[in-house]
Amino acid sequence: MICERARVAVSERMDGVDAAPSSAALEAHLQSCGTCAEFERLALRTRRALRFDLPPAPDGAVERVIAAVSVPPSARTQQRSRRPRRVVAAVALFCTCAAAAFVVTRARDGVAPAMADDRATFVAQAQTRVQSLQAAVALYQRDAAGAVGAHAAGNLTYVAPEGVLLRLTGDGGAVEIGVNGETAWRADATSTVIRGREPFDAAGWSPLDLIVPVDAFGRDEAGTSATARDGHPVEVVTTTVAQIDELLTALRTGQDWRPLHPADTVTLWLDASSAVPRRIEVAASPDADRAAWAARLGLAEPAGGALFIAELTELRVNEPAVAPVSPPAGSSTTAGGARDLGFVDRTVGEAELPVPGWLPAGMAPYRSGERRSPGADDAVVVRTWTNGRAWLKLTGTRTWHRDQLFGSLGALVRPVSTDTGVVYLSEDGSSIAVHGADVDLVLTGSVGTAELQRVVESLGVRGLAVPAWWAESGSTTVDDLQRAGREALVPPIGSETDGGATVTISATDDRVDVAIVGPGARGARLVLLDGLGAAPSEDPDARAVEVRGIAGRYSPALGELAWVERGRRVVLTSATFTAAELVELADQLRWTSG
Amino acid sequence: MSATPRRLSLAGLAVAGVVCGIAVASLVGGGGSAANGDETPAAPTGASTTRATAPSSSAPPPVTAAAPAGPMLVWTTGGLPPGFADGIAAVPGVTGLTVVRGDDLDLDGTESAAGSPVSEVRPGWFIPLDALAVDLATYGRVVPGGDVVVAALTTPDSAVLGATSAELRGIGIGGRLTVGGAHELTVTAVVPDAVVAAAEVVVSLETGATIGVTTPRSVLVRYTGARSDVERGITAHRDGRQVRFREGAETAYLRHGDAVLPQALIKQRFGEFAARHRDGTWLELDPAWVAANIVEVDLPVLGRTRCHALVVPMVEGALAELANAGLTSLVDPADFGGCYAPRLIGTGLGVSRHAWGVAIDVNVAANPLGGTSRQDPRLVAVMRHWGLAWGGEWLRPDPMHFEYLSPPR
Repeated sequence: MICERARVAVSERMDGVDAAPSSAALEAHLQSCGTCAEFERLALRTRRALRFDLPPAPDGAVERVIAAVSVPPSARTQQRSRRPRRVVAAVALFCTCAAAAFVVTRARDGVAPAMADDRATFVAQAQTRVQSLQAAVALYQRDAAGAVGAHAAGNLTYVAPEGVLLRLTGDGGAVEIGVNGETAWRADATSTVIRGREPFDAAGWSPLDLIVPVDAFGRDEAGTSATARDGHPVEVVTTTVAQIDELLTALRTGQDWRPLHPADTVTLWLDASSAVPRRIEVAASPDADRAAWAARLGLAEPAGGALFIAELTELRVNEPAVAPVSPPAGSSTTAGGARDLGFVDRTVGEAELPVPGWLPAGMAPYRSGERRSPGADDAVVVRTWTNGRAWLKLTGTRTWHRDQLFGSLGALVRPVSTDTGVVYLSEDGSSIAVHGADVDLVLTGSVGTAELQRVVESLGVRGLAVPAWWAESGSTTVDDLQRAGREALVPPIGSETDGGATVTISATDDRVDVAIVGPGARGARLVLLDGLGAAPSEDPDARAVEVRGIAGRYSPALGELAWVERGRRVVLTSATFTAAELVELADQLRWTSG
Repeated sequence: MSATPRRLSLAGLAVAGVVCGIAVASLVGGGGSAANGDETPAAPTGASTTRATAPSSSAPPPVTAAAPAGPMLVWTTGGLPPGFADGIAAVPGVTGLTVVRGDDLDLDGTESAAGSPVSEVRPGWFIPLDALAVDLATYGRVVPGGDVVVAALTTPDSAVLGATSAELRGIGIGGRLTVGGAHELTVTAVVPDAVVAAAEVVVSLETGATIGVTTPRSVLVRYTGARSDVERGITAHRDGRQVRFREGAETAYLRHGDAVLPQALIKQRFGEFAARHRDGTWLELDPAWVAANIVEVDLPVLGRTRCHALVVPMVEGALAELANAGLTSLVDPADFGGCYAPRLIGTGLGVSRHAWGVAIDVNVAANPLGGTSRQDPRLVAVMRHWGLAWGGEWLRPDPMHFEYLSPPR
């Protein structure tokens, strides 16, 4: 018995599952494997710790939820049978997204000419229509014993462009999290306030996907399905936890939340006009590795049914008289303390930061100012524009002196030739960096890559290629690899659509790194290490798999598929793809030459 | 190295000729893809050509190697318990097995086939050598390509080198190694690392008994039927030990301690040193090797320490990633166990990776050897991303320990 199966069996035995392997086989394994024996001990302890008593739910609430989320067997079968299509869709992600980005790049009209019902277009357009929002929030989850119950409830308020207030009360007590301009705060037993927050600063809690899930679906060309829920027109979207990670993280705050697996299935009912999520349901993925993961955590996962549910009711969008959100009285002087992130609002002159000659329709100036981080020796200024929940942010400095691109785009960037020189796209295409002769810039925002690129080109700054000694100098494209005769394994993107925003490549003498970025947090990383054979296995549960017709290895603990091909060790890693998806993705890869 | 009678050389060369013939005959035409050493260029898919030569003048021409389909590896910590192999042989479904013994040898010097010294260690010093001893009656029947090894070891005091080891030694067929101060071994074959689990030197059981390679480490098993049934049957004979099973592509080398790079591959990347014992635990390493490879650095978060120069960027990268993610609190600088430490492994498994300066111990007090891990999974994930393997899931867990495994990925 291998460890993975043993841990599933331990969990099944705790749940009293009849189909669990014979206890003799399990006992034999537990006696011989200290790691699994320790797992059993921890699982029992975790199980006991999770067996808390839920407070009484509102009359009929639990029954209503369970009834609503019960999936008929036929639907479940249909859902499973759709998985291969979803896998294929995930595998072909870069193709479709790249193609879409290519089309959008050439459209240059600010509106993606995609299908009327594709998710990217839907959320991109909806985000400009939301100026304010108020809703009641109710959150439910399945506990360790398998019962679904109310877990927290409260309300959500939004005032464009970045004022958000979420108040929840549940088993873990009351918690309030808010953002308003330069201030962000969290208040539960203690209060912590952040001041000097930069506009749209992710580090300063900016859960805008909770309002309209643009990060999750802004690059997702899959379709939606129109229907009605409780008398309201909605668009139904099915995806995975990985893709709406940001939204769920924002929502599941301040309480004792059960873990969700990245492969778990999510259904969202998005308001047809505003794209605000009216309801979110998460169900366990049928993936085998997911079952092992649940077993490791000692979670009870009966087949079917929801693990987590969020309901937004009494939804009021763009109604007048929504009060601006603000921190609780006196919170700035509480024991939790106030932290100053060092951003100072002020007017920024054109001599400090160039002004774009073009902006997406409806964008109006919002906050601007200067970053005064302790210890920082570069004078960094910021200017932003908004339209409802949509936003753009230009950051720049004229004193950049480090040997890497300004703007923390990450190790992998993609150079793109434009009419105004070379610009560098981040892995997910949500940021563009420009290295100019006397200024270094980064433009980021919630709009599409094509619109970002058009804004950058209107800045009047000539983009230079980074010097050879900068970290990003290895950045390259499929076309350039092909032209250079460099043999590398790459995603199946034709050279004409390499202008997409989903594949980023870096090549050095002995390795090639490829980032494959999908919607939301979906993505994978491919590394080719020249001249290396197979590595020893770190994962006790590693298993042999056939990949590209070659004997390879999948390591569930690492989310890693590895094999040796053409004299290279190939490692494909993802925290959000299942083993089957990784194998299918690997099968789609092609060699640039040879 | 002292003058040596040449009879063994002649015998070795004679055997070598036979071995080369057998190697080509038995390895050509095998199916599947080649299994490769970590630092050994892999063969193009389907072609399955693997270099099997040493870089000396006496090295044989390249041979074509078949890929081992892979028997099942069974190993336990601290060596196999008494009677374990006999118990496995009686398990239903087991059709054959071979026991592999392993210990570190003290290498004193080497000679080329022509009798010229290639390396010589000062008296009282030694080079640690990862050695295996195989049973000539069974190894060839269980391990793909093992018949080449068996044919090469029929002469007393003969030795087979893995390809990486031959490269490190700078000797090939006909070359000689002096081990343990008095024993001389003659190289009769150089084979792909995968055939000998990347061991530096392989000898027969009989030769092993005379030079100190005697600890039974693993069993390689051929079987029919369901693997789970065979594993269950084998587990019944474990005598309280923890057992690990591996097969095929589940790991790179079917040997004990399969989760880490074999010593030959550590040497290939980070260099080989001579050492001498200071006591039962600590070693004194060749000062020239230390000066050339070990550097003192001021690591982010952890502070000042000594490490191998080639590992420093990886450790720094991991710590920087932790810092960027706001996770530096996952590492307690006051509980840092260090990096470079020239010592033996406490469990009799040879020289510690700390002696190469390619391992670090963090959050030591909370994560004792053999104990339950209290490391945060996010710390483990970042370390692994930077190519540092974690000891927390080893058969004998060492949750404080991270060591070099591969380039960052």
